[in-house]
Amino acid sequence: MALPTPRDRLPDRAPLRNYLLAALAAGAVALVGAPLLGQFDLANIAMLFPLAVLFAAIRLGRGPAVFAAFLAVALFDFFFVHPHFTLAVSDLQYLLTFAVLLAVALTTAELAARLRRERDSAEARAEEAAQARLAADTERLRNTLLASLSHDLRTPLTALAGLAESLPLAGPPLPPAQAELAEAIRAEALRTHALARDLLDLSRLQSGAPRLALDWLAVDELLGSALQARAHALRAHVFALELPEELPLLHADAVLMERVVCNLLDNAIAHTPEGGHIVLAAQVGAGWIRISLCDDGCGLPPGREQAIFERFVRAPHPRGAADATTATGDAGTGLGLAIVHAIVAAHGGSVSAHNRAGGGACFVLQLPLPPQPDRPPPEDEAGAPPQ
Amino acid sequence: MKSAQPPSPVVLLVEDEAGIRRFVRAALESEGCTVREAAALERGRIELASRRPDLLVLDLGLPDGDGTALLAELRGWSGMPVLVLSARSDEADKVAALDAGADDYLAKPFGVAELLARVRALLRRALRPPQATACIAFGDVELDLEQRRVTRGGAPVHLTPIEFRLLGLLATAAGRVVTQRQLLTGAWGPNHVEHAHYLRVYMAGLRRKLEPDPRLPVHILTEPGVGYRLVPEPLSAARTPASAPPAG
Repeated sequence: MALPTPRDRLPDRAPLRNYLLAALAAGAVALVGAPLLGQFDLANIAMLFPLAVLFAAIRLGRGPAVFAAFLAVALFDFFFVHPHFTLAVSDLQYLLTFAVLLAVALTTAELAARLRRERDSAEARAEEAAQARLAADTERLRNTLLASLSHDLRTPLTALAGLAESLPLAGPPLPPAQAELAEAIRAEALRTHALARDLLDLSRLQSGAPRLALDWLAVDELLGSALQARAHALRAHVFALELPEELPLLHADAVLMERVVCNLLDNAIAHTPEGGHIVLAAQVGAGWIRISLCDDGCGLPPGREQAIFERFVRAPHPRGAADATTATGDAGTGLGLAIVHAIVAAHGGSVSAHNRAGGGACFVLQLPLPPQPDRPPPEDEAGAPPQ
Repeated sequence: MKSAQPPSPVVLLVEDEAGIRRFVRAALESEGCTVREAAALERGRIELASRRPDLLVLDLGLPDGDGTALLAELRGWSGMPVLVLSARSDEADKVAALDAGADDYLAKPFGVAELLARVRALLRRALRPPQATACIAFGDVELDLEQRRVTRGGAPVHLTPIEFRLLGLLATAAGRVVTQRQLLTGAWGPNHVEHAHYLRVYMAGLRRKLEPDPRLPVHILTEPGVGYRLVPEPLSAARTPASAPPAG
């Protein structure tokens, strides 16, 4: 899976041109050697040919180098070994010279080709490492930017919401119209705060592998704390909790899972008129748990049951977003279901939505159940205190 | 009991954001507190040493360092109540601050009502003699820590020794959060801090015995990712966006 490098890399099969160049190199050595014939020992002239092979091995590839090795032997025999201009050999000792020449040339070719391969793969590895480093740097920069942007946005919004709320504390009680305006400022500041938080969270969740603080969670405890957080907003609805007697433990991130349930509750509350029914239920199977939240509100736009899990996709509110905001403090950013989807996916689960036959919508979470941990050891009723 | 306690409690607020300092000051003053402010750790250290406040409200992310460092120093010489303000959504920071000795935390953005409920609970505990915590009542449950007796609607409730230890830890901190690590260490010992699932099983047991509806608890509350909180009177007021209650 090496990345293409800017450098020309030789393909596994060298092109014809390289064989030609290898032949030229061997020929050039023969040319250089020719004037030396008679002045130098033949054995010394033979030593020139591996130079051509070495050149071919380094610059042209293994195939041309092997070709140059055989050609070198042939040229040496043809031009330098008596009788000249034939491939015949008068003295059998030259066969040994050929063999040594060929062995040296082939070994050179092999070694040089191996060095080249190693160099190429080292370069590719360095390239890959550089790419990975660049990706990590970009990711880190993006997260730092997002985190500081989000912090810089959220801090003044926290102050703004608090200042609006403390307006009546600074003097005599506000007249109703002004108190209402102060409350509207506070609600808007909180809503913008929630939007900044949701954007940051979503970008963290969608940036590859989000960090999960995994812990053992009791399902009824998880649902209970989410319901406690939304108790105020749920007052206007008829709520039912349908849980089996025995519930297993989940291995999940407690904060994120509470967020999932709260976001689904916010969604159901926003889309169900006052007095409507909301039912939170759980079902346990072999290796999975299914948590469903159903309402008898306005239902989902037909054909958009999956699209609602994308960012900023919202169904029209029967009661208006502002209502939902005051009720829950932070609903209606249009990111709630996208966050649900991202968190559930990070836990290896799935979430889907469908319309009920009798009207209203159902959201179903399915999460994997790991093998359950050991029960706590039975207690000694005498109860020796610890430590 | 200290009789030289000044009539209005002194609160030191260490927070770098001027806007947040301003509304926290307004809220605390409406409650009858005297507020001292510090915008950085260094100033906070000086104020702590010279003023000896009754309560410290401490932001974790300060320009010259982490508030947890100041908390650790403070715990070396004082047990004064500390309320941590945390802008970070990362629960690990809150837990670290609580395990380092903070008494409670508030996640930003927080409302005035929430802030005042926490401050009142912390001041009440600080200004009250310790033996007053031996008897605690919530809902129809009465708990006598000294006599090791629990009754519900007047009838005795049988708790196992570990259940009683857990309830005792929550009750002595009534109104404040107790981290999972503190509960596991207190009930099973320091070698069991990883056994979160023990806690799940025992909390379910406690709720079955003490909550009106164990599935929708109103007294023994879960703080996801942090720990548990025993709320003597249901805190629904703190969760609603109500205007601040009158001073006093």
